[in-house]
Amino acid sequence: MADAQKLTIQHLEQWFVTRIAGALEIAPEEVDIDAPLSDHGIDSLSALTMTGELEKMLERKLPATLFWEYPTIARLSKQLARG
Amino acid sequence: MQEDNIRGTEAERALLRLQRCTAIPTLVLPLAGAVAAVWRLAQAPAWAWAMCFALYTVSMLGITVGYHRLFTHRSFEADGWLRGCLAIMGCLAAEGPPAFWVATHRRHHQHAESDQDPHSPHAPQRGWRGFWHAHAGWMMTVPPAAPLHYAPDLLRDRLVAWVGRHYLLFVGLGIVLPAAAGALIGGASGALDGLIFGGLLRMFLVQHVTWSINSVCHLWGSQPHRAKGASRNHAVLGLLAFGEGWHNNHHAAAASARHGWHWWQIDFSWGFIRLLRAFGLARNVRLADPAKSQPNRQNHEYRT
Repeated sequence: MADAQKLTIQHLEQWFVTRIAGALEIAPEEVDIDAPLSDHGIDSLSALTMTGELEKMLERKLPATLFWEYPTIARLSKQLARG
Repeated sequence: MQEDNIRGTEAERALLRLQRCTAIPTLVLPLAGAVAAVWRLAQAPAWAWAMCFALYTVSMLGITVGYHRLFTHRSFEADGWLRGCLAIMGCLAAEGPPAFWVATHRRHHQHAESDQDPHSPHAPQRGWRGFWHAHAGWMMTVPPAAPLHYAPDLLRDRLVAWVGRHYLLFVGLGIVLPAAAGALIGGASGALDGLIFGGLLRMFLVQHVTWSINSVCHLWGSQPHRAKGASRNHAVLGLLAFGEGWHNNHHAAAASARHGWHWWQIDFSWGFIRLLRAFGLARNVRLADPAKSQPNRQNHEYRT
Protein backbone atom coordinates (compact mmCIF):
# COMPACT_ATOMS: atom_id res chain seq x y z
CA MET A 1 0.00 0.00 0.00
CA ALA A 2 1.23 3.49 -0.85
CA ASP A 3 2.47 5.65 2.04
CA ALA A 4 0.00 8.37 1.06
CA GLN A 5 -2.87 6.13 2.21
CA LYS A 6 -1.17 5.21 5.46
CA LEU A 7 -2.66 7.55 8.04
CA THR A 8 -1.66 7.89 11.64
CA ILE A 9 -3.99 7.14 14.53
CA GLN A 10 -4.23 10.89 15.26
CA HIS A 11 -5.20 11.68 11.66
CA LEU A 12 -7.89 9.03 11.69
CA GLU A 13 -9.28 10.09 15.06
CA GLN A 14 -9.43 13.65 13.78
CA TRP A 15 -11.20 12.52 10.61
CA PHE A 16 -13.89 10.68 12.63
CA VAL A 17 -14.41 13.58 15.04
CA THR A 18 -14.65 16.13 12.22
CA ARG A 19 -16.94 13.91 10.13
CA ILE A 20 -19.35 13.13 12.96
CA ALA A 21 -19.38 16.62 14.49
CA GLY A 22 -19.90 18.09 11.01
CA ALA A 23 -22.74 15.75 10.07
CA LEU A 24 -24.56 16.02 13.40
CA GLU A 25 -23.85 19.76 13.65
CA ILE A 26 -22.36 19.48 17.13
CA ALA A 27 -19.09 20.81 18.61
CA PRO A 28 -16.06 18.52 18.02
CA GLU A 29 -15.47 18.56 21.79
CA GLU A 30 -18.78 16.76 22.25
CA VAL A 31 -17.54 13.74 20.29
CA ASP A 32 -16.08 11.22 22.75
CA ILE A 33 -13.52 8.99 21.02
CA ASP A 34 -13.81 6.32 23.72
CA ALA A 35 -17.64 6.10 23.72
CA PRO A 36 -19.51 3.62 21.53
CA LEU A 37 -20.50 5.42 18.33
CA SER A 38 -24.12 4.43 18.95
CA ASP A 39 -24.02 6.88 21.89
CA HIS A 40 -23.66 9.60 19.26
CA GLY A 41 -26.69 8.25 17.38
CA ILE A 42 -24.62 6.49 14.69
CA ASP A 43 -26.91 3.76 13.31
CA SER A 44 -26.00 0.85 11.05
CA LEU A 45 -26.69 2.87 7.87
CA SER A 46 -24.44 5.70 9.04
CA ALA A 47 -21.72 3.25 10.10
CA LEU A 48 -21.73 1.71 6.62
CA THR A 49 -21.78 5.14 4.96
CA MET A 50 -18.62 6.08 6.86
CA THR A 51 -17.05 2.70 6.09
CA GLY A 52 -17.59 3.46 2.38
CA GLU A 53 -16.03 6.91 2.75
CA LEU A 54 -13.01 5.33 4.48
CA GLU A 55 -12.72 2.79 1.67
CA LYS A 56 -12.45 5.63 -0.84
CA MET A 57 -10.08 7.65 1.35
CA LEU A 58 -7.75 4.76 2.22
CA GLU A 59 -8.13 3.18 -1.23
CA ARG A 60 -8.69 -0.30 0.12
CA LYS A 61 -11.61 -2.59 0.81
CA LEU A 62 -12.94 -2.69 4.35
CA PRO A 63 -15.25 -5.27 5.93
CA ALA A 64 -18.91 -4.25 6.39
CA THR A 65 -18.59 -5.38 10.02
CA LEU A 66 -15.79 -2.87 10.80
CA PHE A 67 -17.88 -0.65 13.09
CA TRP A 68 -19.30 -3.64 14.97
CA GLU A 69 -15.88 -5.11 15.65
CA TYR A 70 -14.37 -1.76 16.64
CA PRO A 71 -17.25 0.33 18.01
CA THR A 72 -15.33 3.41 19.27
CA ILE A 73 -13.36 6.05 17.35
CA ALA A 74 -10.20 5.19 19.31
CA ARG A 75 -10.42 1.47 18.49
CA LEU A 76 -11.41 2.09 14.84
CA SER A 77 -8.49 4.49 14.36
CA LYS A 78 -6.02 2.10 15.95
CA GLN A 79 -7.21 -0.76 13.75
CA LEU A 80 -7.24 1.29 10.52
CA ALA A 81 -3.77 2.77 11.16
CA ARG A 82 -2.44 -0.75 11.51
CA GLY A 83 -3.38 -1.16 7.82
CA MET B 1 -24.02 14.45 -4.58
CA GLN B 2 -23.70 12.81 -1.17
CA GLU B 3 -24.05 9.30 -2.60
CA ASP B 4 -20.94 9.73 -4.78
CA ASN B 5 -18.75 9.57 -1.67
CA ILE B 6 -19.23 5.82 -1.41
CA ARG B 7 -20.14 4.82 -4.99
CA GLY B 8 -18.68 1.47 -5.98
CA THR B 9 -17.43 0.57 -2.50
CA GLU B 10 -17.99 -2.67 -0.60
CA ALA B 11 -19.91 -0.62 1.97
CA GLU B 12 -22.37 0.65 -0.65
CA ARG B 13 -23.16 -2.96 -1.63
CA ALA B 14 -23.46 -3.87 2.07
CA LEU B 15 -25.96 -1.01 2.54
CA LEU B 16 -28.16 -2.34 -0.26
CA ARG B 17 -27.86 -5.90 1.12
CA LEU B 18 -28.88 -4.65 4.58
CA GLN B 19 -31.91 -2.83 3.12
CA ARG B 20 -32.93 -5.91 1.10
CA CYS B 21 -32.45 -8.35 3.97
CA THR B 22 -34.66 -6.19 6.18
CA ALA B 23 -37.24 -5.39 3.50
CA ILE B 24 -37.82 -8.92 2.18
CA PRO B 25 -39.16 -10.49 5.41
CA THR B 26 -41.11 -7.33 6.29
CA LEU B 27 -42.72 -7.60 2.83
CA VAL B 28 -43.24 -11.36 2.60
CA LEU B 29 -44.45 -12.12 6.15
CA PRO B 30 -47.31 -9.58 6.09
CA LEU B 31 -48.25 -10.85 2.62
CA ALA B 32 -48.41 -14.41 4.02
CA GLY B 33 -50.54 -13.01 6.88
CA ALA B 34 -52.94 -11.39 4.40
CA VAL B 35 -53.34 -14.71 2.58
CA ALA B 36 -53.95 -16.45 5.91
CA ALA B 37 -56.54 -13.79 6.79
CA VAL B 38 -58.51 -14.61 3.63
CA TRP B 39 -58.46 -18.26 4.70
CA ARG B 40 -59.65 -17.33 8.23
CA LEU B 41 -62.13 -14.70 7.01
CA ALA B 42 -65.30 -16.64 7.88
CA GLN B 43 -64.11 -17.84 11.31
CA ALA B 44 -62.48 -14.62 12.53
CA PRO B 45 -64.15 -13.28 15.69
CA ALA B 46 -65.20 -9.62 15.99
CA TRP B 47 -62.40 -8.86 18.48
CA ALA B 48 -59.79 -9.85 15.87
CA TRP B 49 -61.17 -7.24 13.46
CA ALA B 50 -61.32 -4.68 16.27
CA MET B 51 -57.68 -5.43 17.08
CA CYS B 52 -56.73 -5.09 13.41
CA PHE B 53 -58.53 -1.75 13.16
CA ALA B 54 -57.09 -0.39 16.44
CA LEU B 55 -53.50 -1.35 15.62
CA TYR B 56 -53.92 -0.09 12.04
CA THR B 57 -54.83 3.29 13.55
CA VAL B 58 -51.91 3.23 15.99
CA SER B 59 -49.26 2.26 13.43
CA MET B 60 -50.69 4.48 10.66
CA LEU B 61 -50.61 7.51 13.00
CA GLY B 62 -47.01 6.56 13.88
CA ILE B 63 -46.16 6.85 10.18
CA THR B 64 -48.28 9.87 9.21
CA VAL B 65 -48.02 12.04 12.33
CA GLY B 66 -44.70 10.71 13.68
CA TYR B 67 -42.40 9.66 10.82
CA HIS B 68 -43.89 11.99 8.22
CA ARG B 69 -45.29 15.24 9.56
CA LEU B 70 -43.14 15.50 12.72
CA PHE B 71 -39.82 13.77 11.93
CA THR B 72 -39.48 14.41 8.18
CA HIS B 73 -41.07 17.83 7.82
CA ARG B 74 -40.85 19.24 11.37
CA SER B 75 -44.39 20.56 10.97
CA PHE B 76 -44.79 20.81 14.76
CA GLU B 77 -42.77 20.39 17.94
CA ALA B 78 -43.25 17.77 20.64
CA ASP B 79 -41.47 16.64 23.82
CA GLY B 80 -38.93 13.83 23.76
CA TRP B 81 -41.22 11.21 25.33
CA LEU B 82 -43.93 11.88 22.72
CA ARG B 83 -41.38 11.75 19.89
CA GLY B 84 -40.26 8.38 21.30
CA CYS B 85 -43.84 7.07 21.45
CA LEU B 86 -44.54 8.18 17.86
CA ALA B 87 -41.28 6.54 16.74
CA ILE B 88 -42.30 3.23 18.34
CA MET B 89 -45.79 3.49 16.79
CA GLY B 90 -44.13 4.06 13.41
CA CYS B 91 -41.82 1.04 13.84
CA LEU B 92 -44.93 -1.14 14.25
CA ALA B 93 -45.76 -0.48 10.57
CA ALA B 94 -42.53 -2.29 9.54
CA GLU B 95 -41.51 0.34 6.99
CA GLY B 96 -38.02 0.83 8.41
CA PRO B 97 -36.48 2.70 11.35
CA PRO B 98 -37.26 6.45 11.66
CA ALA B 99 -33.92 7.82 10.37
CA PHE B 100 -34.05 5.53 7.30
CA TRP B 101 -37.66 6.47 6.47
CA VAL B 102 -37.00 10.19 6.97
CA ALA B 103 -33.79 10.19 4.89
CA THR B 104 -35.60 8.39 2.05
CA HIS B 105 -38.55 10.76 2.17
CA ARG B 106 -36.48 13.95 2.33
CA ARG B 107 -34.51 12.75 -0.68
CA HIS B 108 -37.84 12.07 -2.44
CA HIS B 109 -38.98 15.66 -1.89
CA GLN B 110 -35.62 17.11 -2.91
CA HIS B 111 -35.41 15.12 -6.15
CA ALA B 112 -39.08 14.34 -6.92
CA GLU B 113 -39.41 12.51 -10.25
CA SER B 114 -35.72 12.78 -11.15
CA ASP B 115 -33.38 9.79 -11.30
CA GLN B 116 -32.23 10.74 -7.79
CA ASP B 117 -35.77 10.21 -6.43
CA PRO B 118 -35.63 6.89 -4.54
CA HIS B 119 -39.17 5.96 -5.58
CA SER B 120 -40.70 7.66 -8.62
CA PRO B 121 -43.12 5.79 -10.90
CA HIS B 122 -41.81 7.99 -13.77
CA ALA B 123 -38.05 7.43 -13.42
CA PRO B 124 -36.04 5.38 -14.13
CA GLN B 125 -38.92 3.21 -15.40
CA ARG B 126 -42.50 3.92 -16.46
CA GLY B 127 -45.69 1.90 -16.82
CA TRP B 128 -46.30 -1.06 -14.51
CA ARG B 129 -42.59 -1.51 -13.86
CA GLY B 130 -42.47 2.10 -12.73
CA PHE B 131 -45.51 1.53 -10.53
CA TRP B 132 -43.91 -1.45 -8.78
CA HIS B 133 -40.56 0.35 -8.43
CA ALA B 134 -42.28 3.32 -6.72
CA HIS B 135 -44.47 1.06 -4.58
CA ALA B 136 -41.94 -1.39 -3.09
CA GLY B 137 -39.43 -2.48 -5.74
CA TRP B 138 -37.09 0.43 -4.98
CA MET B 139 -36.09 -1.26 -1.72
CA MET B 140 -34.42 -4.02 -3.74
CA THR B 141 -32.48 -1.79 -6.15
CA VAL B 142 -31.81 1.70 -4.71
CA PRO B 143 -29.09 2.00 -2.03
CA PRO B 144 -30.59 3.67 1.07
CA ALA B 145 -30.36 7.45 1.46
CA ALA B 146 -27.77 8.29 4.13
CA PRO B 147 -29.26 9.44 7.46
CA LEU B 148 -25.86 11.01 8.17
CA HIS B 149 -26.60 13.42 5.31
CA TYR B 150 -30.41 13.62 5.21
CA ALA B 151 -31.46 13.07 8.82
CA PRO B 152 -28.75 14.18 11.29
CA ASP B 153 -31.46 15.75 13.47
CA LEU B 154 -32.93 12.27 14.06
CA LEU B 155 -29.53 10.76 14.91
CA ARG B 156 -29.09 13.57 17.47
CA ASP B 157 -32.51 12.82 18.99
CA ARG B 158 -31.37 10.33 21.65
CA LEU B 159 -34.64 8.52 22.31
CA VAL B 160 -35.68 8.34 18.64
CA ALA B 161 -32.18 7.08 17.70
CA TRP B 162 -32.47 4.42 20.43
CA VAL B 163 -35.88 3.34 19.10
CA GLY B 164 -34.37 3.15 15.60
CA ARG B 165 -31.54 0.89 16.78
CA HIS B 166 -34.19 -1.46 18.24
CA TYR B 167 -36.43 -1.28 15.18
CA LEU B 168 -36.70 -5.05 14.62
CA LEU B 169 -37.59 -5.60 18.28
CA PHE B 170 -40.57 -3.26 17.92
CA VAL B 171 -41.60 -4.87 14.62
CA GLY B 172 -41.51 -8.23 16.43
CA LEU B 173 -43.52 -6.91 19.38
CA GLY B 174 -46.15 -5.68 16.91
CA ILE B 175 -46.66 -9.32 15.94
CA VAL B 176 -46.05 -11.13 19.25
CA LEU B 177 -48.15 -8.88 21.51
CA PRO B 178 -51.39 -9.19 19.46
CA ALA B 179 -50.82 -12.97 19.42
CA ALA B 180 -50.34 -12.99 23.22
CA ALA B 181 -53.46 -10.87 23.72
CA GLY B 182 -55.36 -13.23 21.41
CA ALA B 183 -54.16 -16.23 23.45
CA LEU B 184 -55.62 -14.63 26.60
CA ILE B 185 -58.93 -14.09 24.83
CA GLY B 186 -59.30 -17.36 22.94
CA GLY B 187 -56.48 -19.83 23.63
CA ALA B 188 -54.58 -21.33 20.71
CA SER B 189 -56.98 -20.26 17.96
CA GLY B 190 -57.16 -16.82 19.60
CA ALA B 191 -53.36 -16.57 19.43
CA LEU B 192 -53.51 -17.39 15.72
CA ASP B 193 -56.22 -14.77 15.07
CA GLY B 194 -54.26 -12.17 17.08
CA LEU B 195 -51.12 -12.99 15.09
CA ILE B 196 -52.87 -12.83 11.73
CA PHE B 197 -55.32 -9.94 12.19
CA GLY B 198 -53.63 -7.76 14.82
CA GLY B 199 -50.11 -8.50 13.55
CA LEU B 200 -49.54 -9.47 9.95
CA LEU B 201 -52.72 -8.42 8.10
CA ARG B 202 -52.68 -5.06 9.89
CA MET B 203 -49.01 -4.62 8.87
CA PHE B 204 -49.84 -5.58 5.27
CA LEU B 205 -52.66 -3.02 5.07
CA VAL B 206 -50.65 -0.16 6.59
CA GLN B 207 -47.64 -0.88 4.36
CA HIS B 208 -49.52 -1.03 1.08
CA VAL B 209 -51.71 1.97 1.86
CA THR B 210 -48.60 4.02 2.76
CA TRP B 211 -46.64 2.82 -0.26
CA SER B 212 -49.62 3.68 -2.47
CA ILE B 213 -48.84 7.31 -1.67
CA ASN B 214 -45.52 6.81 -3.49
CA SER B 215 -47.05 4.87 -6.40
CA VAL B 216 -50.76 5.73 -6.86
CA CYS B 217 -50.49 9.35 -5.67
CA HIS B 218 -47.78 10.06 -8.26
CA LEU B 219 -49.86 8.57 -11.10
CA TRP B 220 -53.59 9.03 -10.63
CA GLY B 221 -55.73 11.79 -9.16
CA SER B 222 -56.22 15.53 -9.41
CA GLN B 223 -53.43 18.12 -9.47
CA PRO B 224 -54.89 21.42 -8.27
CA HIS B 225 -51.50 22.87 -7.26
CA ARG B 226 -48.20 23.30 -9.00
CA ALA B 227 -45.38 21.50 -7.25
CA LYS B 228 -42.11 19.82 -8.13
CA GLY B 229 -42.82 16.27 -9.31
CA ALA B 230 -45.99 14.45 -10.29
CA SER B 231 -47.88 14.36 -6.96
CA ARG B 232 -51.67 14.02 -7.04
CA ASN B 233 -54.65 14.15 -4.69
CA HIS B 234 -56.48 10.82 -4.32
CA ALA B 235 -59.61 10.82 -2.14
CA VAL B 236 -59.62 7.08 -1.34
CA LEU B 237 -56.03 7.25 -0.09
CA GLY B 238 -56.84 10.50 1.68
CA LEU B 239 -59.24 8.47 3.79
CA LEU B 240 -57.24 5.23 4.16
CA ALA B 241 -53.86 6.88 4.72
CA PHE B 242 -55.27 9.33 7.27
CA GLY B 243 -54.90 12.44 5.09
CA GLU B 244 -51.68 11.56 3.28
CA GLY B 245 -53.59 10.95 0.02
CA TRP B 246 -53.90 14.73 -0.44
CA HIS B 247 -50.41 14.33 -1.77
CA ASN B 248 -50.42 17.15 -4.32
CA ASN B 249 -51.40 19.53 -1.49
CA HIS B 250 -48.49 18.08 0.48
CA HIS B 251 -45.85 18.51 -2.23
CA ALA B 252 -47.05 22.08 -2.79
CA ALA B 253 -46.71 22.91 0.93
CA ALA B 254 -44.50 20.19 2.43
CA ALA B 255 -43.93 21.74 5.87
CA SER B 256 -47.64 22.06 6.61
CA ALA B 257 -49.03 19.90 9.45
CA ARG B 258 -52.35 19.98 7.62
CA HIS B 259 -52.73 18.21 4.27
CA GLY B 260 -56.52 18.28 3.74
CA TRP B 261 -57.65 21.86 3.20
CA HIS B 262 -61.39 21.49 2.52
CA TRP B 263 -64.01 19.90 4.73
CA TRP B 264 -64.32 17.07 2.22
CA GLN B 265 -60.55 16.48 2.17
CA ILE B 266 -60.67 14.23 5.23
CA ASP B 267 -57.38 14.35 7.14
CA PHE B 268 -57.42 12.22 10.33
CA SER B 269 -53.75 12.96 11.00
CA TRP B 270 -54.49 16.69 11.12
CA GLY B 271 -57.35 15.91 13.52
CA PHE B 272 -54.91 14.00 15.74
CA ILE B 273 -52.36 16.84 15.64
CA ARG B 274 -55.14 19.29 16.62
CA LEU B 275 -55.99 17.01 19.54
CA LEU B 276 -52.31 16.97 20.61
CA ARG B 277 -52.24 20.77 20.26
CA ALA B 278 -55.36 21.13 22.41
CA PHE B 279 -53.56 19.27 25.22
CA GLY B 280 -50.41 21.35 24.72
CA LEU B 281 -48.49 18.32 23.41
CA ALA B 282 -47.99 19.67 19.87
CA ARG B 283 -46.52 23.17 19.78
CA ASN B 284 -45.59 25.67 17.06
CA VAL B 285 -47.78 23.84 14.57
CA ARG B 286 -46.87 25.00 11.06
CA LEU B 287 -49.64 25.55 8.52
CA ALA B 288 -49.21 26.46 4.86
CA ASP B 289 -52.10 26.60 2.42
CA PRO B 290 -50.97 24.91 -0.82
CA ALA B 291 -53.25 27.27 -2.80
CA LYS B 292 -51.06 30.16 -1.66
CA SER B 293 -47.71 28.42 -2.08
CA GLN B 294 -45.15 29.42 -4.71
CA PRO B 295 -45.70 27.62 -8.01
CA ASN B 296 -42.80 25.47 -9.10
CA ARG B 297 -41.46 24.61 -12.52
CA GLN B 298 -41.09 21.02 -13.84
CA ASN B 299 -44.61 20.10 -12.91
CA HIS B 300 -46.06 20.57 -16.38
CA GLU B 301 -44.14 17.57 -17.70
CA TYR B 302 -46.37 15.28 -15.70
CA ARG B 303 -49.66 17.11 -16.13
CA THR B 304 -52.18 15.28 -18.25
